[in-house]
Amino acid sequence: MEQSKRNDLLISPFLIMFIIHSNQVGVGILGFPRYIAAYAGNDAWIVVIITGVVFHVFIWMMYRILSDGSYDIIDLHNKWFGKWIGSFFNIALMMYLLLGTIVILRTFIEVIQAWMFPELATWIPVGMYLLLTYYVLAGGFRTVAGICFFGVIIPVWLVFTATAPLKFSTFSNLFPMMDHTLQEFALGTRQMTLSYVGIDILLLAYPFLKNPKSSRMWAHMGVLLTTLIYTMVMVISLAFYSEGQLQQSIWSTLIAWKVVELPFVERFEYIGITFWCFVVFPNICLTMWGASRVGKKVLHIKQKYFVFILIAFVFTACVMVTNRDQVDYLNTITSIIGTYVYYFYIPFIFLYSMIWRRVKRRT
Amino acid sequence: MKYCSLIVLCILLTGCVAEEIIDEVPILFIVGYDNGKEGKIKGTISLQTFDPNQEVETRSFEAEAYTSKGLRNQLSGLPKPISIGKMAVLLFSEDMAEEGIIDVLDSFLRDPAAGRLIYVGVVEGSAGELIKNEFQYLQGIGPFLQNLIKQSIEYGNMPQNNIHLFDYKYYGDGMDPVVPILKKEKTEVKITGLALFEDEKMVGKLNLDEMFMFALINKSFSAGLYELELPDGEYANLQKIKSKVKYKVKNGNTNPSVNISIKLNGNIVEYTGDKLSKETKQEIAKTLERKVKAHGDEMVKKFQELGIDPFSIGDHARSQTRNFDFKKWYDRYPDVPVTIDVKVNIGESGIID
Repeated sequence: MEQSKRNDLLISPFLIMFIIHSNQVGVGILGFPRYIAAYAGNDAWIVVIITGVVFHVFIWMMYRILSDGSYDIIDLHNKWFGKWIGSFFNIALMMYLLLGTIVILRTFIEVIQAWMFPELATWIPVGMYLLLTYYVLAGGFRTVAGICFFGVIIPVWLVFTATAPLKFSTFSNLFPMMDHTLQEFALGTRQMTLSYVGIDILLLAYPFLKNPKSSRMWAHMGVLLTTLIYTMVMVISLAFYSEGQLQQSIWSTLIAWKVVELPFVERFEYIGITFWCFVVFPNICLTMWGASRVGKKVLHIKQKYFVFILIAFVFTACVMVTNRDQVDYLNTITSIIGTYVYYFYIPFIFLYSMIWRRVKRRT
Repeated sequence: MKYCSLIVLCILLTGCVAEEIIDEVPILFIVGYDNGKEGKIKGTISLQTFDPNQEVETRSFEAEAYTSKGLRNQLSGLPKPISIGKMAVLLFSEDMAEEGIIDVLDSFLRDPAAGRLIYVGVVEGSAGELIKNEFQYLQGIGPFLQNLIKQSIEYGNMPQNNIHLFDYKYYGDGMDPVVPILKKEKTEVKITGLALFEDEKMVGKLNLDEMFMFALINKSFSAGLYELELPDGEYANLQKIKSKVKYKVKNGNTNPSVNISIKLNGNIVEYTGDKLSKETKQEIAKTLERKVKAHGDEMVKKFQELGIDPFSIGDHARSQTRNFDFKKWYDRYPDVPVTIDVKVNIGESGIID
């Protein structure tokens, strides 16, 4: 981060909670229960909590990585690895962020196509989303943070709809607890990682926080909120579906919305999906913003113009994905890459930063 | 510039997808399925078109095809597309239910437009006949049957059921679905009991009396009215009967035994005898206890003989046994000893003695 940053470009520390939470929760929540239950069955909700705890550890690591000064990961890469290797890491980071954008956007549009408008061509919603994204990115990071705030606050009432499936729930489905092997828990945790990824945005947003050090508690709150919501969705899914039935349901959370009865609308999930636009949007803005930061600092292209290139890239990639199998494939790839990023790259950087600091202190 | 782009957007953003106008789209509430010729399915529907001038038009159509969706193409002389967003009841004739119904249900479970609160029912006789006979129901046969079943679940003695729960039990291990049985009687439709399924095939029936007992034992439930015959020939009417049920399975994997304990709570609202003394109340409670237990034992025996598990005993065993082995359970299920304990508590008995 440039040292000459102006105070009015910064955001309050509490906003990091919304940034982290909204970057974690995306489309995955609409269908993740069956993938976890495939490994851990009725103990899947424990896996959700375990993974949440693991991500608290990652937050802790990230704050240690970022602890000195007000640098983001791009500066640190350059500082630690030199210009060439640092740039390689930075470009890889940008690709990873872009992949995140594409997966989220394309998967959500697949939901829209599967549920609401089967005839809708992909480029229309992608185009609309990206236009809006440009509008937000043009406003700078403060606008992005604002979108994250509203992306959490506006759809928050959807939590109350979780009570409707309770009428048809069988909570004995959760028993017997802890009836799976350690290996099944581990595989479940690996699978669950995809739903939790997104806290990496902290590595880029850190220098934009006022009193970055005091923001740590809020970052943990963000992950905690995610864990609570995921656990709730998981418990309800386990109780609402029988095990075999859950494995059949691609969008289990949306299907559970089908039992919500309101006098003015027959199919509640249409409202749910519509409101989910608010949940998905901050995701796209954040990852695109992150990618454009890399462009600015590494490739030295003005952010304003670089965003255009990114939008064109994401647009093309999204339109090229045409069916459910490809969307699934995209998700699997992202899941694998995400696992590597979190279980290898972040611990690696963490250790590296510790060693680097120690060496530096000695000299 | 601003207005220009607004106009451009208005033009660009219309007509992306096919429109469906509520006044023109026929809305489907009910479908009845019968066996057709040559392995086809015969579907009968009752359609409602909502006219702008407030008149609801109801007409029934029938067609034959190999698949449920295929029926739609066969329905000639019908405005399209048909909306199934308000689909409320799916009826199957008994002989079709005996052959299996999951293929048809699958087409509704798969379709995002269909709800999960659709009721599934079996018809004694022809499902098509029941639908075509519009009777004098003003709101149409579909909404009428929906209300009939809904009210029997909420205020009556029918256990909870719908397409979601059918699917739940179809795919779940150690449980089997139940659905209500309907019958056309001259000018009305009656619920006559409960159809028992083995996975997707109907294999047996319970009558109304048994259906009530089933609902009490199946899971905690609150029922409507029940007329109880006492040993001395008098009758008592019980209302607001609430059951609290606990299943206990011991040694699920090795040597299983099941205990079902039921606590009932009810109010007496009518009694044909002289005086409702403490002793008579006790008598009524004891009679009900005996009756629930006798019916329960009989039903469990029947289910074990049929090899079906509508009480979800297998699922209870799973939830109470570590590393539960379904394979062994299925082998043992017909011989598992099941004991039923019933305890009845009479609460209020009205405002006079």
